[in-house]
Amino acid sequence: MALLEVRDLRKTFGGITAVDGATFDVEEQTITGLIGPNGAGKTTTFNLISGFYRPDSGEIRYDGTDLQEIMRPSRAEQEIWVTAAGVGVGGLGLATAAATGGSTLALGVGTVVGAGVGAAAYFGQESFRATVLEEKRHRPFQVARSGLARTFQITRELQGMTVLENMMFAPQDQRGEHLVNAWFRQGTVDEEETAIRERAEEMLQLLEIDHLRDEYAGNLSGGQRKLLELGRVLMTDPEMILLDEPMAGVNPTLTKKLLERIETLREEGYTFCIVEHDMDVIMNLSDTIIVMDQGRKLMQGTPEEVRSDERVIDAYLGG
Amino acid sequence: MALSSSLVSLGVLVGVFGLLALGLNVKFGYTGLLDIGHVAFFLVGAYTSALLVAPPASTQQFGDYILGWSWPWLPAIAVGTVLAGLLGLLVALPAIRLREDYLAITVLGISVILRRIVQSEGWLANGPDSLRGYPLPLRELFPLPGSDLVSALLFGLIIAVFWTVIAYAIARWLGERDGVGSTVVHGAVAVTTLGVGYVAGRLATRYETVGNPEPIDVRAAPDVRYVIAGGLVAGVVAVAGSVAGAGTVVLVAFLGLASLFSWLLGGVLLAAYFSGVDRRDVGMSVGLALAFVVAFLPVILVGGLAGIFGTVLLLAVLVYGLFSLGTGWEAVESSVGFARLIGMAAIWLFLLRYFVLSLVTPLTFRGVGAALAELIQNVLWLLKFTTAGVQFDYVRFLLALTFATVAICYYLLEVTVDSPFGRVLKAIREDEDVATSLGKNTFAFKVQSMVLGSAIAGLAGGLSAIHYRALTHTLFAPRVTFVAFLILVIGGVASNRGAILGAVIYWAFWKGTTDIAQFFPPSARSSVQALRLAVFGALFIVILYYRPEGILGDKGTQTGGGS
Repeated sequence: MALLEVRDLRKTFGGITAVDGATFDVEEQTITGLIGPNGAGKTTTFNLISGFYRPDSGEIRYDGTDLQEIMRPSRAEQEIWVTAAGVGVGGLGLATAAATGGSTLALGVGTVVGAGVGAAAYFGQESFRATVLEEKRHRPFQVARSGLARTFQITRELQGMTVLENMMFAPQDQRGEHLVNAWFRQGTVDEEETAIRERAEEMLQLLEIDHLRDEYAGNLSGGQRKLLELGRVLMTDPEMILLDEPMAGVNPTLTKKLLERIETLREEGYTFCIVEHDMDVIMNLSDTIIVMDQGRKLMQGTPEEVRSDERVIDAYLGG
Repeated sequence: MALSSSLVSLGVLVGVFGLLALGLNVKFGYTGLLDIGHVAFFLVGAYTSALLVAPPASTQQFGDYILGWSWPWLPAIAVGTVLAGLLGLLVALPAIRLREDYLAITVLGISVILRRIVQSEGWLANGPDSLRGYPLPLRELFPLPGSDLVSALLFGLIIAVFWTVIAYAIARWLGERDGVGSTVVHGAVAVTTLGVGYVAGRLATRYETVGNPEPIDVRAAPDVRYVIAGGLVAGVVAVAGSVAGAGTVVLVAFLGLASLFSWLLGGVLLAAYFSGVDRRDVGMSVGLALAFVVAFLPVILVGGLAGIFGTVLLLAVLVYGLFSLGTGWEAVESSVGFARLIGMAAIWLFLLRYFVLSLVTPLTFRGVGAALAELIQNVLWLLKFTTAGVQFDYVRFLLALTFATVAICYYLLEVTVDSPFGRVLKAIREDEDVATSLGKNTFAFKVQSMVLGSAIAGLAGGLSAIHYRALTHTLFAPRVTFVAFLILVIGGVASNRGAILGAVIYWAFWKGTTDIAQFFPPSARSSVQALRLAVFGALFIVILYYRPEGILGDKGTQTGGGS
């Protein structure tokens, strides 16, 4: 079974059909290249797979699970809404009981019943929206949490934070991200921070930007930002990484190093899907290449097959 | 009112608004949530605590209000804080998923609605009149030292806390200075911890070498032990003294020394901050402070239209001189920046006003003795000298209470923003999509930030209810939110220290310039009062233009980023 299955994916923006029935698979522990002319729908496909856009139709399955299932409300979100609905309607219940001049018992009952009604209303509307309205869910962070991470075509670094902070931000499920732990279990959080800092420093050394560790990310050059973004996504410990033009603006020596690094990571079990316009890179690196044109998959095959395919030469590579 | 009492109540106000600004800083400074209705949570905290502690309305002769459960203050403020946090949750939910300007409008709307409700609903909180008549916490025990055991215990507690803080400060800050010999510091610590605690602590630690004591590090566990021990001993001494009837002696001995020490510590910290200042800079800053005072001489001495004209002319000359000095600052070959020079001048001005000019009135009307008494009162500001003797009055207790609350919140918030939690908040401020792409539930974090910031505003509201002693809707007008923003931007967005400093600057300016108006004829006074707001607005623009990250802000974290 493929790690990522995309079936008949469709997305329109106004009159433009950006992705028009794309269907392809990405096998586990492979490097898949995604190429095509400008406007072929590569980045939109990435945005759909990573959950940032809601598809008009079609299905994406990651690791055998539908993306819609992955993007279900998190526990934290449910807690927040239940608390809010409970407090809000419970408060109304209390006020009603008080206004009608009830006893202490009536006040308590009013509050509890109100809170219950509020919580029930939340769950009711959630299931109504999911089953009756068939609304597409939109929680991209859940996709990243399930191990499918992405980078952006135009780098988006956290400018007001240092390079090291950018890196340390990425790991999942840090204990210190819970306020209670941050306040009352500082020892545990500190230990974890030390471990994360070590990992981040290693990653920075690997990417050769460790001399910039205390620099604000906003002061970095374009190529350095690409490296930072790659390092950051690796820090999240993903299984599959969507890289949108990772080599653009990176110097040749470092490109070579990055390619080696990606190869090594593949050996270690990572899966990559890469959009890249540098044909040398994509041909050398990829196991499989998917060629897209006008929102559709033109063909899928090994680099040799792609290189010799007439349609691809016409549409993209040129004679 | 003596100037020292004004200083103390100014301190309480600074604490309340510093706390309010700290709450806003969590939302706006660290998470980037534009909350222009912050005062709503301040209001909820204030009214909830006041309504809970108030006695039943039927026993009051003025006005009507709900609840009136005569709760103690501690749970009342806690409930007020929690309710403000819950309101933050409720307000945030519908708006927080949308663009941030929707949140701003929603919260502004809520703040105006809540204010209107307390203004117009008479049954709720005696609107539109003030809600008053609620008891103040521990009010009946003051002034200290009292006669009964409860008051003696409270007295002991206060002395213990003050003394621990002082011993800590001596070891922490004086111990770090190179100029102050470590032997002197050890001596000072030994004295402040009353010997007993010091010896006990020293015996517990083995690293002391005779003649060459190592620097004291109170952040390390063994050293902080004797600081606390010293505080406890001081507390026990105070309780014993109070019961034995020698409370006043204990009070003067401990808090008098504490007052003196506060000036010393302030001096040391300022000297450290302004290190690298040469004589010429000091002279220049003193000159600036004097020039400002001199500018008011015409209106005071000559009076009338000519006097006003002279003062305005001199002030204009001063402003122009400052402007040309600022633009040509590189040519001055100074060792400090222009802003620091202004800061120094402001401190000189404060010292001049507090220690020298305050003596003028007593000297002219009541003679040397009165002036001397005024001076002693101003120096020993923690004590209140009355005809009935030396006391520790309620306002000073309130100052300590506010200070402790702000210190705890400040500590918690510093821990928060340095933790991974704070890192996620900052990341959301910088770019929410990046946080999402890295698997952070930005929705949950934004809601938590809203709840935390609002709860702190609620706590500030509870304190303000004690400080104001009566609540009216005008105290919670939308401008309070903008004062909090002003404080934040001046002090430094995304800096907790900046929020406190901003509160100090705002209220020091506001209170410090209040008495300027009295030199002008009555018809012009309200204009002069209003003009202060314009001057402050000008200061705001200057800071935004020359230092957009605020005085203590970090260059990389100014809002809006920008590469």
